[in-house]
Amino acid sequence: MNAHPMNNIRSLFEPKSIAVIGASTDTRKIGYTVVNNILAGGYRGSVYPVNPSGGTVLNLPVHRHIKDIEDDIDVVCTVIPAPRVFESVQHCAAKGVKYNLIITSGFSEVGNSEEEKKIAAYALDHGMRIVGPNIFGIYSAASSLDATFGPGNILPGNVAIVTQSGALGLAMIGKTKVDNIGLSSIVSVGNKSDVDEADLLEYLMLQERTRVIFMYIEGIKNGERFITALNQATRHKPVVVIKSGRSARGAVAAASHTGALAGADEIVDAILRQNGVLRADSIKDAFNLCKFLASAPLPATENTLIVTNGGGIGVMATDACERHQICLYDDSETLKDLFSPVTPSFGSTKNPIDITGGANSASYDSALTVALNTKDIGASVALYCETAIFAAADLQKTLEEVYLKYAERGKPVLFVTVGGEDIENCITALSRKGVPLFGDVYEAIACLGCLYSYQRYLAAQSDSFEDAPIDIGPIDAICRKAIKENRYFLLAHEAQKIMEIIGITVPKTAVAKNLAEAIDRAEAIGYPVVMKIVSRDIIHKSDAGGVALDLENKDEVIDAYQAIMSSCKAYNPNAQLEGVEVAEMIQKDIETVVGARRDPVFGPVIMCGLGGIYIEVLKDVAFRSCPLSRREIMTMIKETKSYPLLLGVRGQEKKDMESFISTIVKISSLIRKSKTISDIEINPLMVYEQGLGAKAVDVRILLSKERGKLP
Amino acid sequence: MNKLVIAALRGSAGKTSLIVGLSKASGKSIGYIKPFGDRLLYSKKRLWDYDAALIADVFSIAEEPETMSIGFDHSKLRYMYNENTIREKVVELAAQMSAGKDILMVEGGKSITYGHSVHLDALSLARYLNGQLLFMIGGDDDTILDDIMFLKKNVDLTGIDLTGIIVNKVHNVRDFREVYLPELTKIGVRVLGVIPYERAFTYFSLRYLADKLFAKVLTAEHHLDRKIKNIVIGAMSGRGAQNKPSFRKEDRLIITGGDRSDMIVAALETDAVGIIITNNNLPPSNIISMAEERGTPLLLVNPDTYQVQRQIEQLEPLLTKDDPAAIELLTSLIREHVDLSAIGVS
Repeated sequence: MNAHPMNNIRSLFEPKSIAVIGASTDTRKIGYTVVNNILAGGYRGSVYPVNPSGGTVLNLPVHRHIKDIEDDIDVVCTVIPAPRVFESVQHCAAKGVKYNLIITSGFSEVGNSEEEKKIAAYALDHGMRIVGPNIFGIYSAASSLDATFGPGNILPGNVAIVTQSGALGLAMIGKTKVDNIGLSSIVSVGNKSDVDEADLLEYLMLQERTRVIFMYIEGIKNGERFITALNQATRHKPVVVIKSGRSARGAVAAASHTGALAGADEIVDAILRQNGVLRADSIKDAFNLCKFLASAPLPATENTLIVTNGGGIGVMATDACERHQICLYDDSETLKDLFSPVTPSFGSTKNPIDITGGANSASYDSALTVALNTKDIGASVALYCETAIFAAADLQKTLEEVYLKYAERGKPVLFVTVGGEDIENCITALSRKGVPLFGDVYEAIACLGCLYSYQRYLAAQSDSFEDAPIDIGPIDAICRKAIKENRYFLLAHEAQKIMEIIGITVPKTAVAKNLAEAIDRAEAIGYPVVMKIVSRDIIHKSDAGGVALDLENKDEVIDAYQAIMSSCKAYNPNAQLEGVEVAEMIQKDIETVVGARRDPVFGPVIMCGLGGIYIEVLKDVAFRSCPLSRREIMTMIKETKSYPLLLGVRGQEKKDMESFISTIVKISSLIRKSKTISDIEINPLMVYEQGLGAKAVDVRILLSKERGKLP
Repeated sequence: MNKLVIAALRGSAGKTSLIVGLSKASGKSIGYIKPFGDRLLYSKKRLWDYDAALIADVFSIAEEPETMSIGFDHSKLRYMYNENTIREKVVELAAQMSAGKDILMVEGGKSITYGHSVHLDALSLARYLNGQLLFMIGGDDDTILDDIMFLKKNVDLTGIDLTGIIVNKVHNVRDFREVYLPELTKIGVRVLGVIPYERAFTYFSLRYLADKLFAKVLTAEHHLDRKIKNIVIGAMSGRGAQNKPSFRKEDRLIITGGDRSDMIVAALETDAVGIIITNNNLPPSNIISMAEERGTPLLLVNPDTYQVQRQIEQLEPLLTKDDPAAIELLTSLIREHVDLSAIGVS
């Protein structure tokens, strides 16, 4: 991640001084609430209200102008009307303010983008960073700073929240308090005219106090920088994200709401997963996850043990474990040896361990202590359906003690209790103490699944990115030639030439300008051959009757040539027909697709999956951002439903996976290194049996008008 | 045996229709060749001319349509033949195809000049075969006169047996006969028939359209022989469409995108003869099922709606083998309006 050259983001979270421009004595105004929250929150630095009217606010003297403050100012909160913000920003910059939190709204979110850009540009030119506009402020437990116009009394803790939505952020402040989630910080980024999520991650990922980062995102502006920041942050601590705008309608709502554009959800989803981000669908899921991850240690092994007093809830938990790819410890002999002493004879020592409806708090303590002491068990889940055998108060005490024992030994444990009022009270009480106690088995197991998923991600982080050496010079030359001809796509033979340069096998091909040449080329390549029209005016060759397949002799070549020329002339009488491409007719096998594009938001992304003519119908593809590791490539391939085809189904031989992976690596490297290529698609990439390689049958390459501008 | 070479100055004059009508009206056995094919069909590596396939089907000619043409593109003819060898090939082909037949119909290229550079234009064919040349001339009245005058004054027909001219697609036959015919007769043009314009010949079938547009037939393949009389672009809202007069015209084809479920449903509910789905945009499966249930063909094509409309505009409606009513109508028109005895086919 590139740290901003101007100043340290620490000043934003731990400022020595703060000024509130627009501070007010009117208790109904944001200018009052912000000052009040700063003071009530116990901020340890200096506070300077600013208002041309002067006077005092909450017993603090009000400065008429920021320049009147003698002290240096680290952070300013701007709460004045939008038309006056630019002038104020000028004064703040002159004063040497490091961060200006523009709480004021009325900028790009309502179409006033020019003013917003002007403010951000001016601030950056004068060494000041802007947060917002259109935000609710910042809370930072590190400096006991609550510079928001939220409800106040924020519970300090170790979850950091970054939100693009101000209103939702304010609501979350209240909700975290109810759910007993302590915050290390909460920041809204609003319209992100300057400071964005990537800047904040830079601080939060290294801040010891923060154990989990939760982000609510609507649109992403600088995707490549965001990906880099996420990738680094998730190596330090879990990052939970709600990315709204999944649906087309949702994306429109997001755009009109904050002025930011929401990216295509398939790409967003793939990139978040690739970078170890845990994506939540709802605030409730996200809070459950944050609360759990903030205190849960990482399991030492993938084996999970479930202890239950009821069969039904045990089965539900087992189902949930399968869904969330949680491995249940299944060494039946060992389980029997370990748990027989703590399980009634009519119970079960198979995982889930059923200590039966007659279990009391001691039974749970015993079983869970055995699990705690067993090295091969990485995490435990205790399920309790309310019975009359023991009182909820006992349960509460036992669960708390068990939790503390587990915490001390660094092993995760989750509790699920289902029952009436007493149980609900128990849940509330233990939740306040940070004990991971859930009222729903699926919610609990989902959290544990995320913990394992995060652990697997961390284990894979030692992998290096795959890269293919590419001689970009000749590739650029081919692209430049096309651009000089005012053409932003490559002709088939040009695309094939590029494939040859990067070492991807293509069928033997040659271009013929007339029938005699077509016959010569076909004879040289060897029958059977394929013939396709070459014309810059005909992109969809099949639609124009410009393709003939499986030509087995000279007579068939002659007929096909006539058919192609005649059909294409009829299809587009003005088309310039440059000849035909004669190519080796390739053997059929598994038709895959490998594509890459330079996404306007996220930069280079790669796609692989099932290719051929049904690609758009079946949509069995997976995306990743580039570059990516070999393990990530394999994960991407395995994500597609057609992956078993590559392993060989119904007696077929295994396919050449190495060639498939190698093609993905080469295309990923090409899209990253080329300055002009915007899209590449190989469809189909025919993958043959192991050892026989793969062939790029059809290659389309598009050039970027923006990046391809010639000097 | 008569060898009739049918020529035209311009494309779509009605040469093939004339051949079908004359042959039917004559009641004689016919052979057919079209040395320079121009309405080619290419499928499963076979190449043949549409007209040849039609004639072969209608008259149950045993020879394969592929054998009735020598070439379909200048490139092949230039590559394989010169003036002498092409003459030999034409004569050889004519001999093969006329064996045991009463009349050999020889169809020229799509215009009078077509094939001249490879020695296969209609006038060359007439010379090679010593056949009777018959010109089919169609269009509006002025175009017909222009073409006939041009032919009379500027085309060298030396060594050719010009039997006469047949005028086609005339909107008002009585006017033409009264106003223009005397003038033509005066300058020595032998007009052997004036055939009226018949709107029924301008309709084409869904099957023909599917072939020409390389369409994927999604539903109701058994109804592809339906004729299209009107075309509606489904760009308006589905509800709005049902109120449009154009949406109530008979035998109408709707062209719309696969994502326009409202329009497709409106078309299905108002019994459109067929629907072209553009942009290769597959409609939802329930819509496809609905079309199948109602027996309405859905044709999926790759180009967008505008391109499809342009392509359809450029299509020429052709006679089809599976339309006996049209063939019967054509035959009766020829019987009524053409002097068969002057041509020697009565």
